[in-house]
Amino acid sequence: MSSSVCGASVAGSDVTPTSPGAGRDSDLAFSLDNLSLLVEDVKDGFAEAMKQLSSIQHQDEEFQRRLNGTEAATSQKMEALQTAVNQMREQLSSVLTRVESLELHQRRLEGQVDRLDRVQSEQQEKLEKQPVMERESAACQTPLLSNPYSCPTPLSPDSGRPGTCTPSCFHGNDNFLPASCCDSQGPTTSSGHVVAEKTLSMSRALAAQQVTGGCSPDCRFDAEHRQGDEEDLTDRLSECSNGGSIISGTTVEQHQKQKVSQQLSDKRRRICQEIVETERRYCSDLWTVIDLIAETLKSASFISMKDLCLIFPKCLPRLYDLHSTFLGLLETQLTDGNAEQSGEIFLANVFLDFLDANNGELFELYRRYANDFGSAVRTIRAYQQHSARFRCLLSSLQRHPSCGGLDLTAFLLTPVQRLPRYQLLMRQLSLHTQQSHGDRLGLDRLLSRLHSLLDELNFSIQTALKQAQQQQQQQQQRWKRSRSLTRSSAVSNCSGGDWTAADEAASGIREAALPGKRCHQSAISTGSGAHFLASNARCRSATPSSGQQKQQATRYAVGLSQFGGSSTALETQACHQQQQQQQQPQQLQRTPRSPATSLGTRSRWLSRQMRSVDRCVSANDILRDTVSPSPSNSPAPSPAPSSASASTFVDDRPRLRRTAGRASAASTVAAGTATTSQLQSAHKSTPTLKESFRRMFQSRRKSSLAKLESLPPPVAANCSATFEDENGDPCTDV
Amino acid sequence: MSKSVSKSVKPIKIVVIGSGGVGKSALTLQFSKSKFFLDYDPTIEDSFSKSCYIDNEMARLDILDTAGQEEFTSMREQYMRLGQAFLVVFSVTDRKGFEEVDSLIQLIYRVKDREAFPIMVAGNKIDLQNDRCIDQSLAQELVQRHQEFNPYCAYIETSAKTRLNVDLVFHDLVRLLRLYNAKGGSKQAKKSKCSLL
Repeated sequence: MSSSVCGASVAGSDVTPTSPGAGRDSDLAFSLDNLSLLVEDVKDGFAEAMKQLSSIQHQDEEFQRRLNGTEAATSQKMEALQTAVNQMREQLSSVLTRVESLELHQRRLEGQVDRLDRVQSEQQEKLEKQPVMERESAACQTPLLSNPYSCPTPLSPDSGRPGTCTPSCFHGNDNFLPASCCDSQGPTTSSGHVVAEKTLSMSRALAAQQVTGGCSPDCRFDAEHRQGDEEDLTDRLSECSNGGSIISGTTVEQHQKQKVSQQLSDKRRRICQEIVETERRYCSDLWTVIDLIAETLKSASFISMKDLCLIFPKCLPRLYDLHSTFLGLLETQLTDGNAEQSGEIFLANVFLDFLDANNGELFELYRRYANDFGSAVRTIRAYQQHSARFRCLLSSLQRHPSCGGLDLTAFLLTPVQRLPRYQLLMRQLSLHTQQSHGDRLGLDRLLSRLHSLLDELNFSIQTALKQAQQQQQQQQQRWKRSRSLTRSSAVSNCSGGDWTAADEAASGIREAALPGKRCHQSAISTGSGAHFLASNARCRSATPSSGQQKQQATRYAVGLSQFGGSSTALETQACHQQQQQQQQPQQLQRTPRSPATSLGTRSRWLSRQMRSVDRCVSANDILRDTVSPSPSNSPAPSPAPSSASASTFVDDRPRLRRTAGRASAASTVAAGTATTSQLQSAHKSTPTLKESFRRMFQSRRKSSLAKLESLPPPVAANCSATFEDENGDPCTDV
Repeated sequence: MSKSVSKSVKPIKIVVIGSGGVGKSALTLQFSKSKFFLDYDPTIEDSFSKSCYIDNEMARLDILDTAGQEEFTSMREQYMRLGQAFLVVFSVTDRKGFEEVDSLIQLIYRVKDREAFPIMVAGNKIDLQNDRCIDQSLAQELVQRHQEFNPYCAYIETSAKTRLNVDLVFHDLVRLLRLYNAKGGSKQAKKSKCSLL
């Protein structure tokens, strides 16, 4: 604008020289026009400037307005913040006071634990000072433990908190006492030394738990309380943040999410507590078994040590050790400082670490336990059936407060049930663990780990059970065979006594009978000797070594030669008995005073004969078993009369069978003839006697049939022949 | 007095079996402590003991809860051997669990080496009528099939949540056991072994 004014003035100065003398008016008019134009220009420019100015001024006002608005808003927000901060401060101060009171409480508790420690050490000293006999009673009478069946309430003076003092870590203490009391009541074998040891271990455990901090029930109570406080605080904080949602813009959704996660973590905590609780109960159950039940049964004199070992598997104490350390770990985790801060508990990694540290041992322990469990229950059943004292003892134990009315088998079953229960509990825990949770990965890993462990355990137990069943069947067969063996020897010995009595009745036979009997006895002794040696040799052959081969061979040889002796003895015996049989009818006819009894002895003798044959054959089988795996070409030094050697033994076998068969056949024939004569005489005398004879024959038949059943198949075939002529004879005769 | 009573009463061992998640623990827990946990079910102790009067006669029940051991089959026969009476639980909302009932009962016969044994079959969770997939008639049919040779077998519908028939199922089981013992079932029903001559 100023430039245009300038331009006008310049143009005015230019115009004046071009019109020097002509009309000044026209110049003036022209310059006036110019001026008016200029003025208009200036006016326009001014108006424009005014317009611009006014627009600028208007914008500024709007800005001002906005500024005022924002100022007001910020002041509002400031106020809200102030109130929120004030609230939080109040909360914080209340929490601080609470923490202070808790600290006080904890200090008091520590003092109590210290006192307890002192009492423990005093008790220990007392125990050490007192003579051995008095120790047990001292253990029962110590002032601290004056109330044996109650929870350790004397530890917490403020008993205004009911129910929370579970006999947690003091389960040792709790259970220990009744056990010692029981000991002192019953016939005790455990000395004071045991008691002293127990107290020592107890105090040690106590100290360890004190170190971990999660020990006494009050401590735990504190922890729970503190957790509750934490919950409170987090709740209130979330409320605050909701109140100040104007600031942060927290939405309702987030709040709901928080609520859900809160619920989840609540459940999580409860499950974690249950895991620890059940673990504690499990440990205390184990301790009850080890300390109370086992000790009580040990003090009972009528249970053998072997059966005790069967009832209480050896791995129980080790299981208890492992699980109580695990319990300590879990409890620490539950009451850990970190867990308190975040309100979350991380169990999976503890569990995994525990499994990693003891995986092999734990698996092996549980495997062995599960395998032994069946025999334990069987032993208990057997005792319960046969021993009234055992039943009485068990029922008295069942009434014991620390048993809770459960019987021994229920307690023994707990380790079997524990491992699967871990899986159940951990599965529940994983259900209530969010994906974002720190324990998530560990839990997944733990679950798969537990699953595989259980699978493996299940498989190995199943195979072990199957094997045990097979072994049992085999053993039963073996036992049947050996029972027939021993019974036959016993019966033959027994009937040998009978035989002499019968001999005395029939006076003339003594000369013939005695050598036969002697032979028979020698046959028995050599036969059993051979059996023993054979079994011995078999044991040896199971573990062959180059150094023992010679010994083994000589043993074989001795055994075989003795066995050969027994077979020859049998033959001579058979001969003698044949002679004896031939003499007997005449003698019997001469002495008709007890025909029935003599017949009875004869039938007994017959069965005895059968059994001795049977025994020889089975001994033979055993011997063959032992000979067949090893080379049997060792020549025998033959100290026995028959000069039997290992090589000839195999050939000797059919001969033995033949002789055995011959012996029995001959004896049956002899018996047959004897009985015929008997029958004839009896027929003459009384018809009632006839009946008795028939009965006797029937019984004999039965026994021989039963014998046939019990024999192994090849022998059975052999014996069936003897049975037929044995059976055939009397039938035709009658 | 109480001592003499507890001395004279022989405990009855009851084993609770069934597939996973059918409510074995819930039933046992309801019976033992009259509690039902809707949102969260704590697994109770492995075994517990409870005394009660049934038909004016004292009975002490040792109840063995087998929850969690459904897959641990190798030990199943071991603890089954301990049982004197069995409670086989299935859920009326779970077909798979119901299908296992028959094989479980067969397993009981095999383990106990008996042809008849006191067994109570409980159809649990009948409060969940909407999810129900096992009809009462279906379960009755199954039990009737067993009743042909085992008269000590019965079916009952329960709900651990509403406590319906919870006491009854245990009491009836004790009654069955008493009947079984009175008839000398333990000796009579044992498989006879063949004897020679």
